[in-house]
Amino acid sequence: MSLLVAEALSHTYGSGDLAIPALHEIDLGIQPGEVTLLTGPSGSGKTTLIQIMGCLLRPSAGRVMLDGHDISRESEKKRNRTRRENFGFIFQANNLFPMLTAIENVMVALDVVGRETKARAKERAAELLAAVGLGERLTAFPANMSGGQRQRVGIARALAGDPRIILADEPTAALDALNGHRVVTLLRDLAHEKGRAVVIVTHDPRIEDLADRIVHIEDGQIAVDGRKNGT
Amino acid sequence: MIALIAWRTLTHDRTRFAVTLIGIVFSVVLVGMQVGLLLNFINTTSIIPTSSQADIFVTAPGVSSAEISTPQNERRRYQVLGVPGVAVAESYIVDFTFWKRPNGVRESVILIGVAPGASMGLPWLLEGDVDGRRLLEFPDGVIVDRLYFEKLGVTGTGEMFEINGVRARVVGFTKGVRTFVQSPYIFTSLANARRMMGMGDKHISYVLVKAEPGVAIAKLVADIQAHIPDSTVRTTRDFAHGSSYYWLFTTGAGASLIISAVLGILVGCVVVTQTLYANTIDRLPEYATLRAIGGGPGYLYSIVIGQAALAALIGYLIGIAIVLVLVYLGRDASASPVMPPWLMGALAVNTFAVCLIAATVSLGRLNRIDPAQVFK
Repeated sequence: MSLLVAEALSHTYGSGDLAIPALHEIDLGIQPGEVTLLTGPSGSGKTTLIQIMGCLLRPSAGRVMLDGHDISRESEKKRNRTRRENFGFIFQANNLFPMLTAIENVMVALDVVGRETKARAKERAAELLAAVGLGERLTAFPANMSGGQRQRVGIARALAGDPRIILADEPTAALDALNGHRVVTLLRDLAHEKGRAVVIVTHDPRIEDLADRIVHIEDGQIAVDGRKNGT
Repeated sequence: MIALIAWRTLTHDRTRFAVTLIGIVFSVVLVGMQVGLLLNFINTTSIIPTSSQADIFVTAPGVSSAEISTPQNERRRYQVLGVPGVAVAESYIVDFTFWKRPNGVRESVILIGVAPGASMGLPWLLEGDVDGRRLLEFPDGVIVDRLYFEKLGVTGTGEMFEINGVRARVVGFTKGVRTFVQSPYIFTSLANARRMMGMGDKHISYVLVKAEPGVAIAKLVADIQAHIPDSTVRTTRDFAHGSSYYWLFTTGAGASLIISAVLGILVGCVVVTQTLYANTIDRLPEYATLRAIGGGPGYLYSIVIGQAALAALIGYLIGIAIVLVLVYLGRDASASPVMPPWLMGALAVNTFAVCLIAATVSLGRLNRIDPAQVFK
């Protein structure tokens, strides 16, 4: 059973003569416990799709269902809450606050989620960083960390709200092969061991072996949707 | 966490933080000193009426300032005494004249003449445990202020000088009776004043009036005015305001002080606006990330407002410390700024308001953040 479902999703940027179609009637279900790669050439609509499915952008047509509810038409306040309670985001540039340490960056996300006391948030942030292999680097500033380490801090931050769905945009783009492999292995473990749904937008062919499912998008439409087990 | 992010964002770029603080400190010092000087100016320009203990001043028509009097005949005093409700009416002389130092140099002074037996207009801030009335009884005695010793060439009591060519002997001192026109106040008796000014024995500048207990001052003013239509009758408060207004706005001195204070506010506002906006622009991807992970607009606003409040607090503390030092150092100057506690509080409120207003530009930018941009 799909956790997150896109139904006849279409999106166009601009209007009139300046209209640029980005997605055209996409149907896609995201399963828990599975790593789904969204691949395709630049401008194919991958990022638009992940923005809409992550409640960051409203579709021009179609809808996004989470637990049977249409989240694409909710008010901004509700969408904010939906994101906070269900989604974890990982970005190519990781967007860590440079003046905060690794543990403080994760604590900020816990503060946004607002479920923990300060002392508990500190403990929880340390646990999350330890889970991504950074237990020894809690007080390091981003500038003093490698690209792979920064990306793992970003993953720990994404996990702060204990999300059911993790959306990652080119998480390995700025990493070498070893660090890229580490990051995706971490995401795969989160899917397989914790039952989370992981969606990764990528151009990186090195990580295709670690995915359970690859959805190839071209010209705003799904061109190929294949699983490793052939379904 | 909001306070931590605000503090680290504010101080992350040390140079920018220093510039911010300099801007705020500059603003606090400039506004504080200008308003302090303005207050002192208001106080000193109204010091004659406000220190007189009179309820009402009767002046010649058209007198705008207590220092610049127009002569009246002492007959006025008797006319005033004839108005029901008047308890006491006393003659008072205030006028510019010249003081001659031992080396022959002349200095402009404001001579204040009051009868030794008067109940109003007596010298204030007398130094030491002396009876001002007794000092006024000396035939050629004058009382000068310590602030102007050097200017007048005075070193102690018993010294002889000339006022308008008439011998004057220093018999006592006041301490802190400031003037704003660089013409020190010299107290003497009514008779001495007339003699030193070369006036007749019926000459006065003002009639100072004390109302009988329970009499409404406004009504008494109207009654005296009706009784003596060719004079101007005002409450002491109105005369004090009129004097301050005259010197503040007809000389341009007040406008200059006010404009300087406003400039200080503007400079502080511009510097803080620029810094907070630059800090916000630098951190837009991180702010967009916070929005994407579910942080509401209020969370982001709190970070920027926190920066504004922290900058205001630190800038104010440094600024007010400098102001207090300057006020202390200038305590004996003739134009020293004053810094009462309420003004320190008002400066704090002003500083926080300026910084919060400066934050609104950044808040507007945060309001336009699109959380979707984190995936672009």
